[in-house]
Amino acid sequence: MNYRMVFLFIGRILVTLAALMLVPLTCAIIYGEALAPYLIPIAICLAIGLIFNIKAPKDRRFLPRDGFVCVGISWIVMSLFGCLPYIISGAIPSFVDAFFESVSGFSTTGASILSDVEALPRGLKLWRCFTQWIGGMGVLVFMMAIMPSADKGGASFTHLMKAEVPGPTVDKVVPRVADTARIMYGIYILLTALEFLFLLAGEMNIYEALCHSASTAGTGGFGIMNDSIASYSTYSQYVIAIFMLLFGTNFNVFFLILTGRFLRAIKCEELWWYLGIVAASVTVITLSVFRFFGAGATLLQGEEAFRLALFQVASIISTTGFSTTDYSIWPILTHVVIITLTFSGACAGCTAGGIKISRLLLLAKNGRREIRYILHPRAVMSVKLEGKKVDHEVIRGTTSFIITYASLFLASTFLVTALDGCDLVTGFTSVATCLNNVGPGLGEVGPAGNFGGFTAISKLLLCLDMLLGRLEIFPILILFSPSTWKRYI
Amino acid sequence: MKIIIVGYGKVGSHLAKLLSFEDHQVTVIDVNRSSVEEAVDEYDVIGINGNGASFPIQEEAGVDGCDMFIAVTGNDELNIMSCMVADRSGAKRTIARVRNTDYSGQLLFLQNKLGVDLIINPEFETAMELSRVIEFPAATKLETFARGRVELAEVTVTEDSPLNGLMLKDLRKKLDVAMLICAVQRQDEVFIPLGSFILRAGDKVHFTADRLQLAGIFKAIGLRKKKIKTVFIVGGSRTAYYLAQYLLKTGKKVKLVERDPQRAALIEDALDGASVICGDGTDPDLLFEEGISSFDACVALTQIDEENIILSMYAAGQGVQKTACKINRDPLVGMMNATLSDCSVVCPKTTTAGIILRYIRAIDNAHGSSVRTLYKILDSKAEALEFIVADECPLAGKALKELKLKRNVIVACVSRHKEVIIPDGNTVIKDGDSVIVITSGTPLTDLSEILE
Repeated sequence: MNYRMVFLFIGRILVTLAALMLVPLTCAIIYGEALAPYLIPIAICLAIGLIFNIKAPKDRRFLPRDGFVCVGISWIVMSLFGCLPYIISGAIPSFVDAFFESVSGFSTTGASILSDVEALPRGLKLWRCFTQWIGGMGVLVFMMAIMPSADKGGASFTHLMKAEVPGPTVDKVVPRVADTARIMYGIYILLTALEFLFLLAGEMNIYEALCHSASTAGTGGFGIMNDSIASYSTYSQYVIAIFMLLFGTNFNVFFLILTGRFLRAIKCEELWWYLGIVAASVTVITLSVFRFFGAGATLLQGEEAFRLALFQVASIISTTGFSTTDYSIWPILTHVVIITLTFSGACAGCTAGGIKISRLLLLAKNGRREIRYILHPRAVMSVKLEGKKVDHEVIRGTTSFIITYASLFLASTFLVTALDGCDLVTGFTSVATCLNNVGPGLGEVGPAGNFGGFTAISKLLLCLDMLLGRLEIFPILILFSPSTWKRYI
Repeated sequence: MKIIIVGYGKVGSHLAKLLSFEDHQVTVIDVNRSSVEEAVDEYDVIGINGNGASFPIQEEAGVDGCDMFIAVTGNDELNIMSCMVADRSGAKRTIARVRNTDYSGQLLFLQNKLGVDLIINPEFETAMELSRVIEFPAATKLETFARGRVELAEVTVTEDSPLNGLMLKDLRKKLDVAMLICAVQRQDEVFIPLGSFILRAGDKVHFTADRLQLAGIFKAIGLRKKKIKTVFIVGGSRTAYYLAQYLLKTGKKVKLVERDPQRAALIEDALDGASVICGDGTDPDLLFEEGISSFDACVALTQIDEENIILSMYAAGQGVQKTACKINRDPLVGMMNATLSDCSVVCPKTTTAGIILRYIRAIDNAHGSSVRTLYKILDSKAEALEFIVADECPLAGKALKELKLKRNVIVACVSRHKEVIIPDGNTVIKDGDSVIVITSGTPLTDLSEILE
């Protein structure tokens, strides 16, 4: 590993983080709250960041694996420094709790250890939501977008982007990776601004609209109310539901639409599966909930059932984790659907977590091919996605990703359940919801509950799961391999 | 600049590397899927898998409105065809690599009627580069500027050379020569030296000088070699043919060894006056029989890099004064230099890429002080560029010592009308001069970019 280059990157990340903390600082100034929780971390980040940046490394060689290591380390570093405001303000005094909240923010999970969110100062609530906005698209992608072009090491940055942007393959929409990063952030900001305006048109004030659009955009799910979105109007609920679905769509689709290539945009295979899954799940849950309301349910309750179903489905499939009701009291059938959606996640190339529909599609198509091979041993068959032949390497990568994902999931579930002695539903869904960056699970960690009851070691384990899920496993796992740390310069 | 490269071979990949580092928007098209993946993995480019001459593929690459379309596949016809399609679909400039001699007579037709703006023949360019080092055997490399008036020569400092241990600011005092040392390579590092720099034996030195004074300079720095009259060429490639043709024209004696009888016969027929031998050029017995040790120079041009390197070493051991060879894979050049510092090594892909780069830079800067010549030197770690000073250039009319230049940049030579000026602090750059600049820093497109 080229330590000097990695340090340089960590330094830049810290400076960027300091700049981003200006947002809650401004908010605290406006509302006349304590400024120390932001000023102290800003000073620390700047100091360390600038020390790392004083001398440019002579040898700027940067291998793909360095990119992976950088991504892994910088997310841990970000979470560590990002939890300082919680600790310094005294809102979350325990380090493990604050770290959990911070990781949950950056990884866009939205799982919280707080039982009373409303008690937090406004600046801190905004910081919670804002970490999700940063974490959604990724801070390294952000750095790439703003860094001057002469400072870049060419393709090595592609590897950074590969490690940070979710999905089995990264499609650059334009030749230069920095331009791609800029376009992605452009679309991201545009969509966030749109949602902000739509929410503002409803009953929300600027502060509420800002917090909610930031955490929807990152598909995070941190709210500012104890009951998440439930107390807001029907209009706001529909707006948030629709935007959650939009942020779960592959951003390439938006790029194609913005550049006037509608035909190619609507040909996106993953998009149709995504919409299909959403439609099917909404139908099943609506019917199930309508029956749950009892025999005398009216048409008005029909609308309510549909709205609840749509919101919950959008929230889970996009791995946001807002809720408008405590669905843990719903029939078991809906739970099955919700857990399935938790794992599937949304499209690749967006801010959502989970396994991603394109990976599942690949797996299913590959499975179909294997069956056909048994029937027609001499058949020549290729797996196609988006009308293009998928390389064997990509299929191999996808299968091994899903196997590793499943193994990590099982191991964490058993560990958390054993360490905490909680029931299996709680253990199973808490790990599932963290690994897939959703937020709420079922049982004790349902929409009405929180993660405060876990032991410290379980919380750290869940933190690891959240980071593994957000960075799609390998950038974090690579940190555990001893040969990663060998210095080659 | 939006650039499309068709064919990710040796030249294509080298171009993709250089152009993406210069921050152009590069799209690579290749029929071979794994090549495209390699391109996308290695460099900051976008890749498209398919035939570069097909319109839908070009359209996908965004040919309409692209600034430069470069076709460098191994197939001449495909390159010409791709450029024609690109030209018709809106590419602003097209470059094709065409190596078949059958087409070399119709370059004007290709340019005017078929819309290919620049046609490159790598073998020919390689041969021309080789011919220059044979002209001045003391230099391992020689690049020309200012329409042949100025030379940039590469030499290696030997133990007994007066340059060994010399501090650069004493150069003119001690040796009384009009030369400027503008780049030094020591081990792997490249320096743009200041006056306080002290040369050591083993350093690879680049200096600029007036072409007419070059012989005197070589003598002064203790590198005098006698003029080359006889050349031994191993391998009957196209490069060998072009080189032999040029050498014969300038009155040198040429012996050429080629393994394939048919090819040997063909070359014998095409070259008038060369003695062509059919046999294995790597066989020491044959080389002895043909009297390699009596030749002034040996040029190894077989298809295999390793053979060329070993042949050059063998020839140097046999007492041949000047050795030169062609190497396709340039990492090898860096590996061999330590042991074979006297051998002139040419790399066709670097030469070709240099020509294309110069063309692109000149287009990129159509208004300012434009690039006329460009060479990548010292394993592409430094660049030598020639600019023509334009009217509004901020450098014009000022003495060099008043200008604040960037680090790693040196003004190596100024050529005015027929006069060649080796610059010092008092030199004033004027409108219309051609200025040669050496840089190891960021690539330059305009002369004003050398200022801080």
